[in-house]
Amino acid sequence: MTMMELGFPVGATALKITSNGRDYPILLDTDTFDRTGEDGDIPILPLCRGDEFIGESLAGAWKKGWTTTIDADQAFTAIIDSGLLKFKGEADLAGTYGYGWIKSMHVVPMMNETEVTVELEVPINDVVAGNNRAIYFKFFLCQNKVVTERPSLNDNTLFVEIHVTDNGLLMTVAKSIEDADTNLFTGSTYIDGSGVSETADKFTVWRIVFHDAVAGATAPEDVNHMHVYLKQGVDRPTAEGATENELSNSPYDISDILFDVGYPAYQISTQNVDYYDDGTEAVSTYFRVNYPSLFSLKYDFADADVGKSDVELWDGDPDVSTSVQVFDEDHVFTHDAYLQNGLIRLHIDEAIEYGLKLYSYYNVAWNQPFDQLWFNAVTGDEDLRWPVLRYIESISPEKTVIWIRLLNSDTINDDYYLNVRITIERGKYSLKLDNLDVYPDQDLRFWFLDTATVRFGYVQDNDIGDDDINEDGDNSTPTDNFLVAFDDDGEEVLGVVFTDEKPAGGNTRFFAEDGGDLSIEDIDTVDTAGTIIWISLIPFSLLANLFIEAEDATLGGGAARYFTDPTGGSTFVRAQSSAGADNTQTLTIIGSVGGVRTTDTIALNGVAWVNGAVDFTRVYILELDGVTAGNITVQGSDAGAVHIIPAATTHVDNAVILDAINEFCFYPFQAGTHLPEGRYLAVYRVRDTAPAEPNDLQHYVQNATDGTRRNEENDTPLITVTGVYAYYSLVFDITAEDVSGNDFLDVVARKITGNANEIYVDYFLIIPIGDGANLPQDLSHSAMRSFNKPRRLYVR
Amino acid sequence: MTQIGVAVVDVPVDYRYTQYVVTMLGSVDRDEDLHAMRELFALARTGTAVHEMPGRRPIGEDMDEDMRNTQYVQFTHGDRPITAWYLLRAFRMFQDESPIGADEAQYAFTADMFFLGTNAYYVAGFAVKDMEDVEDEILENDWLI
Repeated sequence: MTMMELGFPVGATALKITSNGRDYPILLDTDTFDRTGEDGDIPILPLCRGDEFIGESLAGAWKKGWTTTIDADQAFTAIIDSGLLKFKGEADLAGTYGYGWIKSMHVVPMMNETEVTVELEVPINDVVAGNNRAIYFKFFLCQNKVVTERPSLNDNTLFVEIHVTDNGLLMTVAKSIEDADTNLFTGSTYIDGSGVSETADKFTVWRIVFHDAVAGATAPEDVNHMHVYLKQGVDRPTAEGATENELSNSPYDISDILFDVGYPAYQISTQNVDYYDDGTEAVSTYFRVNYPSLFSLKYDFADADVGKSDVELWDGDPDVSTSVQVFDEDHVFTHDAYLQNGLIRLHIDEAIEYGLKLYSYYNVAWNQPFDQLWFNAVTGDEDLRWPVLRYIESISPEKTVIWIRLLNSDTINDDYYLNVRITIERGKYSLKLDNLDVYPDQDLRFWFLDTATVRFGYVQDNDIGDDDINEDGDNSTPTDNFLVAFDDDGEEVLGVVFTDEKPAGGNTRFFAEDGGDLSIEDIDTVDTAGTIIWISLIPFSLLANLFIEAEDATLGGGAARYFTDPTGGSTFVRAQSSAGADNTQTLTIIGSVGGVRTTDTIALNGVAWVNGAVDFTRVYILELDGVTAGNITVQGSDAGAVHIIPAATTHVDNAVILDAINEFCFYPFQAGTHLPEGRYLAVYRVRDTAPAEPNDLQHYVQNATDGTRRNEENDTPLITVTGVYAYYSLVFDITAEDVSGNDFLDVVARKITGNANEIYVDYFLIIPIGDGANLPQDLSHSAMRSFNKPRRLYVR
Repeated sequence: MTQIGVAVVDVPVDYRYTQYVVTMLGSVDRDEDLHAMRELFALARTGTAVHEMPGRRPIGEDMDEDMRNTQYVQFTHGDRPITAWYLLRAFRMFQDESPIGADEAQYAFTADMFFLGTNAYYVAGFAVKDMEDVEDEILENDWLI
């Protein structure tokens, strides 16, 4: 789902959109959400710009709902599959309708000339003779954003409906006013009244265009009305290429509908026990919204709120009283330039290494969680880390644009450099870099990282970087356009990078080196000018709950921990080798003391015991910096065995073993308290003993309170786990009801056969994806919809 | 106190009124504050115009693309002009110079502001325009998002 992130000043009230002389009131906190910055809460209006259904996960702005009458052999699902949004769900009982739906949390104001285009496919145009077979596929604009109620029960809607029975296919366009439906059109082609047909094309593209009244025009164009157009085909390409026909009785009078700001929704309805299932899904490939090219946003704000959350350019640190805010593009700087919008701040530390310093406002302070933001000129292997300000392109309270140059040293010369344009806009967490111009022309590599360790990096498609185990995330074919870095023990912020171009030069990958060091490798020489990179810092206060070692999770059914924890009598951990030659290697022990992750190192001294310093309560990982000749015994100070590292092994870590049927472990957390509402990836790091047992690991996320599934399969899928550690993931939701009910959710791993293989569960990792507002996919997709928003003064 | 947009002047010395123009005479005691005022008015001289027609109220025009010369000006002290929207017209100052007789460094200035109207008549807002790639619907990207 993409949105126009329209940021308002702190304290803005009485929000409304004005277009063609009509006002469209915006309800604060219903239609908008807040981002908290230095000046207070910044209202953001997420104007819906449609969805192309790209990525690993359905956008977080789509909230799901279904009735229990669809929850049988095939539960309700809405899953993206290679750019198609597929809806599944069968009736629990033939003849009794089951319903499933998704509803957008982003609004569509139905302004004059607003266009909504949606592609709808049903799996069949004739469900064959027999009772209890009818299926529906509907697209709505609803008056309210309530998710728990199915869209067809919303009292006020506009909708397009495809209805398939054993008599054939029939389409309807209708309006519902206070729960009374009025059909505007019915037909199996664009001809109104063309009647139900068993051969009607079931691939359709609908385009709805809203218009205000035109004085003196022929009815219904003399009142608010809409035109509806249809393309239809026997398959998807044919429908796309078909002639678009306006419905024969279009336009339609909609002057009586009781809303003018709508929430989009899809709904399937079925009384059929065969549809919708694998291969017979209802499908939509896109839903698009276009607005008129000029409309206004108006608001009131209190005198005291003047200037709050404006984009500001400063000559000198804004927190220092001698600094001056810059309004003139020709300003001559005395100090360093600072650019900020209350959420992020960029300090251009002139001619200093890593001088592009990006700060984020959280915990009531400016913080710099990632201290390196730079490029590498690949052919010359020159690091471009020393910034200098070139000039200011534009300044306004809404958007400020500056140009900088990144040099390869603190010497200001022209041997290697990169010119970059930088943009900050009101209400956005993102810094935008574009117009990349490298000299001499060559491939570019981008880096965003922190000098201190940031443990995790996510670069799409189960490619995870984990510094603790020296794992790189390396993805040459990323499904989506964003990278994420965070440390569950670190700063309460998600570091996010996204781009519009797939890397096409050199290594050709999204890369998370040693965990959370994010890199785009490489931007091909021919793509540099056209590539845009955004860097976002998203405050996420519950970061610590995104990770748990399996051995710290809840075990059941006989599952056991792989290591034995040091006993209570142990006060430190010690190590010795069985070979005297092992006196150059260092053993690193990663564990926890009272739940806080802690590291200790021991320099091996052959067969002599060497004591560590830390009184671990739990040991997770043992790691050697070189191969040893002998076995390394690691134990507590009281001689309680911890583990033996076999010779020639440099790394062992803790895990939970599932070695018998129905052994399981799960990560329980409380919705709201531990993680906020949203859509997430649950990542499992697991391995099997070779040869792997097919389909032996069952994984799912459930609401422990009511037992319903929260992973998008709405089921308990099985996977075959390989003989080496790898990542597997599920998309799952924490819903508003989970949060309001204080429900516990479980991320579950369970062995389901009694075969002799052993499944090792190392850890559970959760990646925030989208919540329709502030998470990585929300920002990275919405960046693909740009706009200008100049400040104006309007007559009331 | 007077607040012009985001800039604050502690104690203006005097005001002079010429039709719809308020001329503020004041001083600040720090060079940085003087430069902050000058920066705020940087575009005023060439970026604004006032159109006058005999018998009609003069019309102020902000020619800056982002209307940066249109500021909400708040006066909170006694004997003050109306808190309202003003068009920043001109700023005059003498760098590094204090008035005769001043005990401490004082940087004097005068500023001209054209009265546009109060909040009762005007509301702040945005005009969203020039959405890029409206016809193509998307900012071109390799993922077809």
